[in-house]
Amino acid sequence: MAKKSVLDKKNDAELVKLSKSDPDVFGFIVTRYQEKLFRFVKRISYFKNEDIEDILQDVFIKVYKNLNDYDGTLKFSSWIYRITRNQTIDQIRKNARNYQVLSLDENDLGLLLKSASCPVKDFEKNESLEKAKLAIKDLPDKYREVLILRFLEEKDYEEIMDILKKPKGTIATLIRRGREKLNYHLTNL
Amino acid sequence: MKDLSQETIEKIKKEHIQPKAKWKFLAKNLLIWSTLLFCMLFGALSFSLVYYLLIGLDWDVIGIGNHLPARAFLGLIPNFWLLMLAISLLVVFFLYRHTKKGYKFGVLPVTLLILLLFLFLGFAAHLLRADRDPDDIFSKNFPGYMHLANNKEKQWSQPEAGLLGGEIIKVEEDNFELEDFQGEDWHVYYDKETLVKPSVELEETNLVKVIGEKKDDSEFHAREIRPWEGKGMMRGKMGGGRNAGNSDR
Repeated sequence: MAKKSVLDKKNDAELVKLSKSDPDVFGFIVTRYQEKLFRFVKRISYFKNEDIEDILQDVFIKVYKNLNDYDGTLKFSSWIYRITRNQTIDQIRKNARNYQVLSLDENDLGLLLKSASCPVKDFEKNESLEKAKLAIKDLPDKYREVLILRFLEEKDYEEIMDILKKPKGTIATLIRRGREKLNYHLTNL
Repeated sequence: MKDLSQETIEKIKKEHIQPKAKWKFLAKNLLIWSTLLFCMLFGALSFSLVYYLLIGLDWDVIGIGNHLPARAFLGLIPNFWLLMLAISLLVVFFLYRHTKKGYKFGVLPVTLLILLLFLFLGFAAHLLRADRDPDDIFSKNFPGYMHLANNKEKQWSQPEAGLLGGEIIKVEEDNFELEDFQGEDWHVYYDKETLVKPSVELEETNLVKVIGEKKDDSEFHAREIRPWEGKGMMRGKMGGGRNAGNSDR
């Protein structure tokens, strides 16, 4: 128990360092990130919960194998989100389907539209909810992805840049255009 | 969702999964950076050769013969090394994008930075005369190179247009034998009207450039004779030229 409370207080970089020699410590990283990453995968894919758990286990094994590649110059959370995103995209490609965001719930939709300065409808009405879902579903993947990272995962531009491996200027442009497109879709549906 | 930590740890232990050794990641990075550096140097050398070939051309004779100056110029652009420069740029850009921080900057700043480095290193290579050898080696060993590179040899291999260059192999009273860059022999005739530039020495093994007129497949009448390097204005003092009739030869 004493070890657990000590390890709980350690930051990600310290846990990474300790995990290299002790796989049990890696369990703390898994515990720390599994729910966040579960939500993230759910938001950017159509997978069922059990499939997401399988994806996440592959992600954690991959992270563990590549611990020595993490050099601390970027946030550990950005690094693990990047690996998760790539693993999810690989799975989507394997299944030969496109992104779908059917997993976005009512709260996510409201939060996304509000944060992205889109006209917030009354989501209690099924019609408005379906319209909003359709508007987000119709967005090209590149815009939907940055909007989810920015407004649902609450990542800043620097983190999104590290996760998607795109320049900061490109991220800013994608967010701006994504908002515009979402607004356009919502007003023209 | 279920707790994945215990399951993940068990899998790691059961399958004896280990973190990959640090040296493997370092070796991968080293490979990327060393290939990038090599391509950067090759790109700089290509730039240097483009510059070297362009300044090696005799611009004042462009348009002599039947060609329009613009067409003649296009025919002398060093395509081969420009292509090598473009390929180097693409490869360096691609490799840079695959470095750890290579995604942080946009396409334009990265491209401009690479071009600036090509420019800077290329001029350094030119000052160190590193561009001479590749052109010589390629010219001597690859028969098609002259046409791809569009170098000075090609410019002076247009007897129909009145431009002939090569090595003097025998000197006689009113003519000399010249072997051009395709290995063909020519009798080049000159007279007192022929302008022989001051630094020209009509001696065997010397390389010269001749402006004149092709009379038949092996005969060429010279209006002007220049040394291979430069325009032949320097010979201890500036300016002037001599007519073949007044030659001190």
